[in-house]
Amino acid sequence: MEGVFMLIPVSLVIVFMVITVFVWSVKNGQYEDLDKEAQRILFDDDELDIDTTPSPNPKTKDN
Amino acid sequence: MASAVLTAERDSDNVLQIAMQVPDISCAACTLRIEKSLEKLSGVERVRTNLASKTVYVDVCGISEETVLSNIRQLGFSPASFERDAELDALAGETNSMLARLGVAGIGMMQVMMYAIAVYLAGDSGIEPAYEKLMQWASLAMTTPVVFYSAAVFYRNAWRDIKAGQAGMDVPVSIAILAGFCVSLVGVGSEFGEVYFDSVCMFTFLLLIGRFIELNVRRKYFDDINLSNTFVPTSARLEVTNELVNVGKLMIGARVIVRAGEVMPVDGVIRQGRADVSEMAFTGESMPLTRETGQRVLAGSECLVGYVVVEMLVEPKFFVINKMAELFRESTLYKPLFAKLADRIAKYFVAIILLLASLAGIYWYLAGAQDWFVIALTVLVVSCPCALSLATPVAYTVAITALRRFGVVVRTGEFIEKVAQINHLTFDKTGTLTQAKLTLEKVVVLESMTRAQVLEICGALEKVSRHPLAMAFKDFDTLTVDKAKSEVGLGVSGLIHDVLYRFGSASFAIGENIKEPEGEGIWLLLASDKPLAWVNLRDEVRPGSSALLQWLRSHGYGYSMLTGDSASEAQRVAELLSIDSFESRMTPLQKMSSIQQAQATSDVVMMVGDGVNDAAAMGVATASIAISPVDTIVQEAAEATLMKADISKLAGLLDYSKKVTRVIRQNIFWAVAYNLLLIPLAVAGLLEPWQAALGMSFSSLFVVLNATRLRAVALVNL
Repeated sequence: MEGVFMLIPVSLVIVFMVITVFVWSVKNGQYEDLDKEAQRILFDDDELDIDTTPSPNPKTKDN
Repeated sequence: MASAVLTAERDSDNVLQIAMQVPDISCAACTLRIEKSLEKLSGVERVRTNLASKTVYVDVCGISEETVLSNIRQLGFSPASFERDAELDALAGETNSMLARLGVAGIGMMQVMMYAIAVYLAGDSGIEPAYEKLMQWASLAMTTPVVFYSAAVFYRNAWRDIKAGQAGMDVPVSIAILAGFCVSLVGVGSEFGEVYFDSVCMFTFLLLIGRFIELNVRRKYFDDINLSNTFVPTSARLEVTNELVNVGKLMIGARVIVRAGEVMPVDGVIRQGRADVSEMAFTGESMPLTRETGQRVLAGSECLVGYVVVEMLVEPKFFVINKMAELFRESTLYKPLFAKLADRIAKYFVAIILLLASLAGIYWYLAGAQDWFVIALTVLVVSCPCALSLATPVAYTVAITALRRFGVVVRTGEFIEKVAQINHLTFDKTGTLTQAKLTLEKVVVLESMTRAQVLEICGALEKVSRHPLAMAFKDFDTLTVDKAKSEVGLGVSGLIHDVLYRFGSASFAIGENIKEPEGEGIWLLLASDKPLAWVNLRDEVRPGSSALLQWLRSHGYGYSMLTGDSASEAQRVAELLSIDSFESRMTPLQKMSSIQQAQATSDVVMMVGDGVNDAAAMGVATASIAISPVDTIVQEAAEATLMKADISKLAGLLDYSKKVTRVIRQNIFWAVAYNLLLIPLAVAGLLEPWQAALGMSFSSLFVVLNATRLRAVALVNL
């Protein structure tokens, strides 16, 4: 059981690392728009690669 | 709406921060397209988009805003003006820091619970003192950030309250957390001391959840106000100089140019040109209407085809769309009666619980109990009336936001309270139960005039009127009128070629009732010193009216119809919609007294109307709602505004208001019951600190979560 004297301090260190990462991610704005990230996976990257040169029909947009 | 579109700020490193709202962002794909496309531009440093608030933030270096804008336009989006709302920004920052605090408290609580459970599981057989001390020290390490980082928000509020000489809910909360932490600190130091780190962490975490949800509710509320503002451009193109000028700086009478694809920047009258205009934002009708010289247009409506010069008629703050936003803002200020009471009681309540806690502590100390301080702490935690003070305000905030989304802009929260008590609805006819799209059916000429002459005179007179009737004569506009006057609810009069003409109901036109010709519809009389001609107009019943009235009947509501029109037209509409009780030929004042009579016979009346002639009646009715009004006077008179002219939504509103009242009652009951039940137990020393912490934070959480059940207004199937 002596191991506990070692393991609990180690667990504390890990938890403090977790807290640091979490606070960093919040401050970095990672939680600001959760909807977009949830839907991002549904769209292929190349589908979004659009030409920025004027297209013949600039009014089209996909919804 | 070109260059006034955005807020741009120049940073110190020559980085230009551009913020804009793009109302036609509808899904994640849209935001991703914008991001991808902008990131390819050289000079763009950072792009952030937010789907929920439909905003785009771009940091650029060395390129102009116009480059960014045209890029977004090429993708088919129309960026709109965006005023960075300081309040909203602060709220967003607060939400973020609250999330960090909540996360830290959550992680801390889990860890501390784990250590505590090890000790609890050992039970009476005991755990070896060395291990117990290890657990206590570990818990202390975990609780420290929770107490000094997560809970700091409570101390800040408490300190603010104390400095202001008030005692808010955060005072006892702060005392409890700090005292609990200190007692445990002593426990860690002494050989057989008890620790309460688990209770402290749990208390903090659960209270923070409640605060976090409340904050999000409030943020949604402000998000919505912002969205309603976005559709009006902040600048307009002056006719004289062809320059873009801030709308706020325009004087009444200024003439601005509006081209196809632009949004009307002002409320005014078209002075030149014609255009197809969509008034979607006001009427819910997406079909564009043709607007010509002399007709009114509203800021926020979209000019789809054409080119017009518009003369601004009223100051920007009286634009219908701005008034709507203002009314919505006003609703924040309202505090329901009960919340006011709760606020007033809360002040004394905090003093009472501090007293109660110390008395309990003193009693148990004198009785020789070891844990007298812990009992005092438990009483303090348990008696905190947080739930009571949250019970109503949260529910109203959620309800007003939900109604706004549903299409009902409420001016005061009181409206919801009152609607729940309604048992009788009084409808105006023209424009409310009917569409007010009148068509000219027939002209019966009494004197030697031609049909065309009659219509030219009527058209000239009706130019001054905003009554839906006037729309029927919009094609006849050649004569000029002097001293034109519109008598609300009666008719119009004016001088044409020095002859005084009066046009309206027979009693208005010649001062006596004469017999109308046969035939359905509205008969109006044109007269000079003698009757000249009868004009027959026909109005169509609004879709949904019939279904709504049927719903009202089956749900036990009474209803009646008041109209300024003739008896025969009222009869026709009443028969179509099977309305038994109706009164016709009513002046605005008669409408008012009719409602007062109904109220005298224990009816609680809601007035549903759309025009200036209903304003007085709205004033006396218990509750009132205006259906997509185009006049600020009507908006002022009514307590709520139905944005899209879908009358069947009234059923949803009536239903929802009952639900709101129910939720508020549940909240108050729960909050009071909780305090009454647990305080005696705590004083008797029968509650553990963790039970008190759990009970108190759960009761707060319960009322907040219960209120969020009101998030959506269910559309009632008619």
